[in-house]
Amino acid sequence: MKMRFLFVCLLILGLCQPVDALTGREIMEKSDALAQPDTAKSKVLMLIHKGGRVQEKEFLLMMKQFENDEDKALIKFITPTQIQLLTHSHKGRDDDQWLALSSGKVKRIVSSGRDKPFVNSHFYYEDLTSIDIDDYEHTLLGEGTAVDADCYKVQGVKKVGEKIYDKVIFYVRKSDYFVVRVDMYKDGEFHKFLENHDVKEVDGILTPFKMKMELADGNGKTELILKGLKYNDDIDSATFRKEALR
Amino acid sequence: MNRYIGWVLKWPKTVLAVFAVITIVLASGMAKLGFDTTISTLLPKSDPEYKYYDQVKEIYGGCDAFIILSVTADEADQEHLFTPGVFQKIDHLVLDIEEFENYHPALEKERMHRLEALLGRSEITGRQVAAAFKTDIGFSRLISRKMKTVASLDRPLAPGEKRELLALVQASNELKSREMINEILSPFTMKDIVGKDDMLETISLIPTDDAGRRLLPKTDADFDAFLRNLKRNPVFEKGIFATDAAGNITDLGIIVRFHDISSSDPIAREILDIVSFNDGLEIVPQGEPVVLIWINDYMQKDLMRLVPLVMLVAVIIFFLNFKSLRGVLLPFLTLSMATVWILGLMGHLGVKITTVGISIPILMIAVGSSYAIHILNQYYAEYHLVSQKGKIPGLQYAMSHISVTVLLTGLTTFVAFLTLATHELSAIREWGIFSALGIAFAVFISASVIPAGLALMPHHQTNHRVLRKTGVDSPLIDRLIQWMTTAAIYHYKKVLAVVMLLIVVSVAGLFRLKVETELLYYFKENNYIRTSAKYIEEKFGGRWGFNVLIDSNEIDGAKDARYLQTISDFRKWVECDANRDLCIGRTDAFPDFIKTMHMAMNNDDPGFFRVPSSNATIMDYFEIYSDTDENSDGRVDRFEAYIDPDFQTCNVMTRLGQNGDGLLGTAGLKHIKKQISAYLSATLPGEYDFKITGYPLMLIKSVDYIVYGQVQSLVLTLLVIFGVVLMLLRDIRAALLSLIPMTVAVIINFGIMGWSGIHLDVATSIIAAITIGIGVDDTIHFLNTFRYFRKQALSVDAAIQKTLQVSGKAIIFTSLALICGFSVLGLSTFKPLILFGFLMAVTMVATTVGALLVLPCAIKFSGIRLVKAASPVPEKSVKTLIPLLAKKN
Repeated sequence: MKMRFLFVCLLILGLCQPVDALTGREIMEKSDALAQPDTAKSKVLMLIHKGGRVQEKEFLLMMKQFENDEDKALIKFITPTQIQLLTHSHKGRDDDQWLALSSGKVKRIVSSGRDKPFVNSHFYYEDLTSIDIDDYEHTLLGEGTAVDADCYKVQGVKKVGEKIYDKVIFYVRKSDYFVVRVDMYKDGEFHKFLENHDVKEVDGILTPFKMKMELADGNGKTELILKGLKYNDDIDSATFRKEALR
Repeated sequence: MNRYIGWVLKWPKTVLAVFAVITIVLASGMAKLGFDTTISTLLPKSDPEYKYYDQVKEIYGGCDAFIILSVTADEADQEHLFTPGVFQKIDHLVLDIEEFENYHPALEKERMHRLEALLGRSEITGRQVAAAFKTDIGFSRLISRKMKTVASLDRPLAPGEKRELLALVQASNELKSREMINEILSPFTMKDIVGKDDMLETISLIPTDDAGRRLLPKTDADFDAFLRNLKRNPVFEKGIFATDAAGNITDLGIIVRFHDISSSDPIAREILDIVSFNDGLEIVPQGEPVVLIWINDYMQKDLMRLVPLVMLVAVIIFFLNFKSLRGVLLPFLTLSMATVWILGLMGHLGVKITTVGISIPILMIAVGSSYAIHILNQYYAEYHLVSQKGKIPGLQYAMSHISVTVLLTGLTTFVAFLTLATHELSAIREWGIFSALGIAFAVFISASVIPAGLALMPHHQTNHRVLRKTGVDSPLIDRLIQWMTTAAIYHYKKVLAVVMLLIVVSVAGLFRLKVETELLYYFKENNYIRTSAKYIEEKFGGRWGFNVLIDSNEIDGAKDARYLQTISDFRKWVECDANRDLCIGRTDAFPDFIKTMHMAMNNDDPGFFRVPSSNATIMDYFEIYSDTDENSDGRVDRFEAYIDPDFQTCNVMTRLGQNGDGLLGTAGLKHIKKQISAYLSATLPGEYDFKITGYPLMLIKSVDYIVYGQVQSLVLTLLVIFGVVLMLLRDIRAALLSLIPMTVAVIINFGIMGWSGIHLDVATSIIAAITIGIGVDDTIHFLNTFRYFRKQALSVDAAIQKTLQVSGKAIIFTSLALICGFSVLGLSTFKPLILFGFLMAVTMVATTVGALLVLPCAIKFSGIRLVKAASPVPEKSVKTLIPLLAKKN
């Protein structure tokens, strides 16, 4: 029941700076060097395709950077329920998370299970955390095409034991070094892939307005669609207080 | 037929050589013969109820098919259950089972590569092989377990042993790839949601490290924490742990659910092997898949041991009757060849022996003996004629006609069994096809090998021993025949009166006959299978169960508080003390997840272990209950057994126990289904529906089909006999009379079963088919011979007397041999086989009495003459009918 902060993922995968680097490590270092907005606010539509049905979930996402590299995020579900998730991300230690039910009851969530799906979607909690470049050994595999773009194919092989993926392959767009696709391998097998679509520049930040996480066997996928996004608006810090959940 | 016999007698060596070659070729198929003891062959797959059951399995998995292992510390070790040593052993046990839960092709490929490389070394012991995988504990233990059957762990492996080990591991991989385990529920694998001090946490009852290895409790404090977690959630009691009267935890439960019980046999066997490999624990395995294995193993073991003994005893009786080597050798050769042919053919065709098919060798012994003895008896009856005409012409004369009779009887039985080829149950279908083929083989072999053998054997004209046997001077049988003759001719009314009385009594017994599906009835009360079932029921509420599906008739309708409360109310009713007669010791259903979450959200207060009244709260719980969904069907994996992907219908799984000290039985199951249906019909809100299904109910359906198949086969056989006799004798009354012996035999058989409390089940229902096989033979032999003697211008009384002397003798010989033979099954330790032997003996007596006493009495009573007495017999008729003892008459 680990409820991590989705926005981190959007930013990590959505922003990069073009560089003239040819080794896998160098390409990923540059991709990893993301400029982050001070605040972000968006409405997100989540479409979960499972068993022939599409579940729609909609939530408001608010995020704010604080001192000491800490950030706070609030997910307020609009449909199908009104639960809220508040995350305080800390550098060097576990995040704090609180859950508020529609009735206003608040519980602090103790994180566990990186391989668990986020609100029954195809995103695992691990997918929503920031990727440390040192977790993987990167190698440039060559070139390829993904999401209609010429890309560098960079393979990352797990170096540390805690990651749930043994191997990931990044498709980094040649034109701007933007990561448009990530293939994820679990237990030695191609498990699922993430694609960033409809990439637009918002306040100078490249942002994918549509993300798709799909199982390798084609048995299901989850789409995230940003419905309006504002960077660097002033958001009251009190919004991210536990007491504000009630 | 005449030309064929002529050909056989002309080329006897060629015939025997060809038959020997065919036998050798088909015998090689016996090596390929396998057993299919899965229950799938006995399930009615086209039945609408089965189709629904199949749909339920498709949606919820085979949740009614599970093995339950009750685990506690080994008393001999005098160790407490909650100690690090015992927990280490249980962890290994769970680990061994988990090896078969999920299949990882890449991992298995890598393991096999490594194993092959290791076994490629010139000198390596099993222990060294296992040790090479010490970081891969599951695989290392699998190798050690498989090594048990290969060689000692500490001795260098011989090349053959290496190949064997590799083959065993490969077979395990194949089994893993079938992913037959749906889920493993145990204190070592379960998770729970806890919510103390305004925290909400998903915990594993036994936590794991990042690599997924369980961190077993070591200190008293660790165990205390473990026990607190275990006892917190009411769902776990009787689910994954059991207590004594004082509330102390005595047993931990490991429940292994399969996707489908019908194919669970191989994985259930693997689990039993794992259980036997795990020393130092007291493990009680139970569950229907296990019971099925035990029954099949018992049956196969005893049949392998006892069927040769049955044949031996039959052969001894042949010898006592014929007092000649050929009298033993030829029938033995015939029935052995027929058995080898049919089993060999099944092996070559890849058809496996099912629980029903296991009776095919017995049928071959019974019917094969009958055909052989009738043919051989004809030879002895015509001994003088053969002596006078010369061996080959004499044999040609004698064999042609008896072969026609055998052909007719065989054809009738063949058709009777073949009618089962369209049966609903595949086991019965295959039984019908291969029994029919076996009959065809037995006729063909009898009509070929015996004449060919006799043609090659010397025929001594002055063989006094044989000459004596051609007369009716075998004291016991002669006296019996004499008695029957007297009874049939002079006391037929009394005999018929007694038979009528017997029929009345038997019909009364028929009403007492119980159709039974409860397999545990096969075992005595003190048998381990029964005692373990009782133990599991006491500890965990039952060893099998069925499903009650409650449909809200609305997508997402199961997220409604009223609906979930309705389910909870039903469970409460079904488990309450007032309904002890329903024998449901436990239920599992979806609301437990919601209740657990509700309790966790309310600081683990047990008072909140209930369905919340607010729909919004329930919707919240659905959202935040996040767990793996491997098949991406929209349900968390842990929900799959309990709710459909549309969240519309919940599956309430019941665990069935026993009826006090007695077993539940089919009647009990039907009662439970009826009671539950009545309750739900009366209490469910109008917009909801319900259905009840599950493996025990399918078994009831199967037996219905088996009984229906037998009745269908019986009726069709009677029609065929009627047609054959009508064609032969051209007399409708005679054709009707011919139906009497078999009908009487079957009624008496079922009457005895009813009165003696023998249940009609899969095993005993086959008896009716064998009764048909033997009954048909006896009736046609009798009538054909009777007809012959009537054509010889004998009076009805004289014809009855002569018929009993000739055909009666063969029939009694056969019956006597088989009664003694099948009595050997009384030595079995397995109740169904003992009953089978007993009923076979009863059948032999009944068919014999039916054909030799009831039929002649009915002929006398009805005044049927069949032919006009003293009419001259045209030459053509003599050739086409049976010219028995033509010389003598």
